[in-house]
Amino acid sequence: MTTDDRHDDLKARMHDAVDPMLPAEGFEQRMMERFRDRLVASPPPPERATAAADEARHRSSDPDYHRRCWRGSRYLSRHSGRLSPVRGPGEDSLFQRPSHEYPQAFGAGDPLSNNLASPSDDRLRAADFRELPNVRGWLGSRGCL
Amino acid sequence: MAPLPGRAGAADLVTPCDADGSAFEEEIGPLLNIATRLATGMLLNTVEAEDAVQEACVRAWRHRANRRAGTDLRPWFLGIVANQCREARRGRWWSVLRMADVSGAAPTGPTDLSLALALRQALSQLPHRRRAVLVLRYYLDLPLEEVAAATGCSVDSAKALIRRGTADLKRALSMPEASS
Repeated sequence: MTTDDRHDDLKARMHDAVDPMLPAEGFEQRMMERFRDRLVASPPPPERATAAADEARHRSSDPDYHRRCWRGSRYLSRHSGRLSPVRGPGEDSLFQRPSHEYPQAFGAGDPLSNNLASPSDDRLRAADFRELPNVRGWLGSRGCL
Repeated sequence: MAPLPGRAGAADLVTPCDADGSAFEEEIGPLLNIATRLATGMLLNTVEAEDAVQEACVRAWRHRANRRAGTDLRPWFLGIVANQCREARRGRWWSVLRMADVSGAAPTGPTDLSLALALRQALSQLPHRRRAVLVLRYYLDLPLEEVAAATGCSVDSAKALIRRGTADLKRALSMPEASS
C-alpha cells in the first residue's frame, strides 16, 4: 500500500466516521437566522472590540505617534535608551522625573553625551542641570567642578 | 480626548463596518458548511458542533477587525471554530454529558460500523491540536498551508502534528499509518 493509498484510506475512514453526524440539509440557513437573532438580541459593541486593533494600526501607521503620545514616548525612552523631548502631563521639566530614571535617561554613565533626543532643548542647558546629583557626581569624578 | 488625526476604524480595512452584519454574513455564509464539518469532526456531536459554529460566528464578527488585511478568511475563521471546539470540550458540561456518548449517530454502512466507531473513539482521545490537524487535513482535505494557518503554526509544525496524530491513530486502530 503506497503513501497515497494510505492517505486515501484514512480520508475514506474519516468520512465514514464523521459524515453520519453532520446536521441535516439546510442547517446553513438555520445558523444564519440564529446568527441574526443573536446580533439583534445582544449586539456586540464594535467600538470596544476594534479599539485595540485601531490603536495598533494607528501606532504603526503614524511615525510621529511616539512623539505626541506620552505613553509612546515613555516606551521609546525605555527601549532605546534615549530621552524623548516630549513631556508627559504634569511633567513640564526633565528634572521632575524620579531620580531612578536619570541614569537611563542620560545613557550609559555619560550625562553630557549626545545620547539625548533633543540636544538643542534649552531646558537641558539650564543652570541647574549641573546640580543634579548624578551629574554633579560625574563631573566631580572628572575634576570638572 | 480629541481623536488623533488620520485615525479611522480598523474594521474598514477588512470588512465594511456594518452595524447589522449583513456584509459579514455574505463572507461567512459560504464557509458555514466546512466550519460545521470541522466542528463535527472535532466534537463528534451534531448539536455541540452547531453550537460551536454559532458561537464562532459571533466571535468572528466581534473580532473581524483583528484579521490582517490581505489574509485569507477561511483559515482565519476555521481557527476560530477550532478554538471554540476546544473551549466547548473544556467545559464542565462536556465531561458530565459526553463521556458516555462518544459514538453518536451510527454510520450507514454496516461493514464499517465497528471501524467508524473505533475511529471516533480514537479521534476523541487525541489532543486538541493533533485532532484539529487530522480533521483539517484528512476530513476537510485542506492544503498544508491552510492547515498551518488555521492551527496557528508553521507548515513544518503542522506536518509533525499530522505525523504524530496518524501514529496515535495507528496505535489505536492498528491500521497502516498515513503520512502527509
